Amino acid sequence: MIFEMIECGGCRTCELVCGYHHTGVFNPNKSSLKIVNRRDDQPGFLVEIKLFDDDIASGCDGCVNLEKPLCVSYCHQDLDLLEMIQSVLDEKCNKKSDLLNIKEN
Amino acid sequence: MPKFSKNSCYAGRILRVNLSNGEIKTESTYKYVNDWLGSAGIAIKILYDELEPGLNPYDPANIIVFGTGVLQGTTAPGACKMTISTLSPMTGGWGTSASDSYLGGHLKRAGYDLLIVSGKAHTPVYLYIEDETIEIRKAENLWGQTTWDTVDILHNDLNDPSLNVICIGPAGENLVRGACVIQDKVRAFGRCGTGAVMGSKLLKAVIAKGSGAISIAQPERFLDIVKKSRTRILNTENTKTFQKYGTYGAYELKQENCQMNYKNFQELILPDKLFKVLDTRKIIDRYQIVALQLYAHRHV
Repeated sequence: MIFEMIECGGCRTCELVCGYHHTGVFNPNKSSLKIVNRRDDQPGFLVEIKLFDDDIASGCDGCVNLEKPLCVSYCHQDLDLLEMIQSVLDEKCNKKSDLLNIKEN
Repeated sequence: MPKFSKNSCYAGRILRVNLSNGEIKTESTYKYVNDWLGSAGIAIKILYDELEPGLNPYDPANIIVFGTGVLQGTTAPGACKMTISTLSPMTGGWGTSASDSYLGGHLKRAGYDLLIVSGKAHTPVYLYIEDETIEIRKAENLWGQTTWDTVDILHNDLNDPSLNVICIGPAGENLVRGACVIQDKVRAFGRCGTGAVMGSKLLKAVIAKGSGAISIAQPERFLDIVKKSRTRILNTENTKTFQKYGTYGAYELKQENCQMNYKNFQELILPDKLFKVLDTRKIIDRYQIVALQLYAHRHV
């Protein structure tokens, strides 16, 4: 899922801590979340959050073992990011239940 | 003196590229790190050991050291600096220029703390580094191009608009003593004429892309300290001014404290009329560089 984040400054700390959450080392390539440069001259950045695992990185699990997601803890726009993570988790739940329905049918 | 282990932020290797004969080799960083801290520290030791006295900065025997910071590639606030060190054409002595850098993080994640370029290429070249792939590529089509055009051409040629590039423009190519090295169109290694030394080696650009990781000995303790530092930085009054105006936030303070370099450092205070004219604290654009976490850079 891709979100617009006008107030994002592009420090990419969220990518680093997310990579740390999944691997225990600082590797932004393993992050579920990517900060993407905008090409349309609009302010801010795009935030791309992966729902499910792929060949490179793991899908967002909302840092279930923590009080709040690590990326949110290290973002100065924490409320915006929290909202995005929540949307991702909701979408993930919907897709999972859709998949289950397909299998059952 | 603490002993650095293999989990101590360093990538562990120094990459050496000789442009005269195309030789590429690596060595360990750990022989330096216990006595010399960070990119500039290690670079000073290497320059001191390897350069002959009385050397001309434009001589192929001069070396240019691209170094990444100790904490670069981690979440530490402000740990975004990369340095370029060489025998400076501006001073004739040691010169180090620093800049905020995405490229440094990539170089480190590719596995290299420092990149040392020696010799002189026969034709214009650029360096392409992607993990274990190190290539000296032809750059005849880039020679003569401005830094912005060079970045665009490389993005197009390599079909990757997210590549981080540092390069020189016509000033560096023509050995202008104060030439900068420009990174991704927006940041500059502006001091000591490092761009001219790159030009003297016919080295137009450096591209790095790393897919590795930076490990830390005690990551949880480290992240806890980072979080406390962030809270402290973000809650100070100066940060709020800095966020609003960038370095222009200190404009009045610098004038009061005689830090306004004017007329090539002959004057340290701006005349009142000029002070008002130059006070352009209006924000046209803004962006932030990796790890700075202050959201403070402004284009005015």
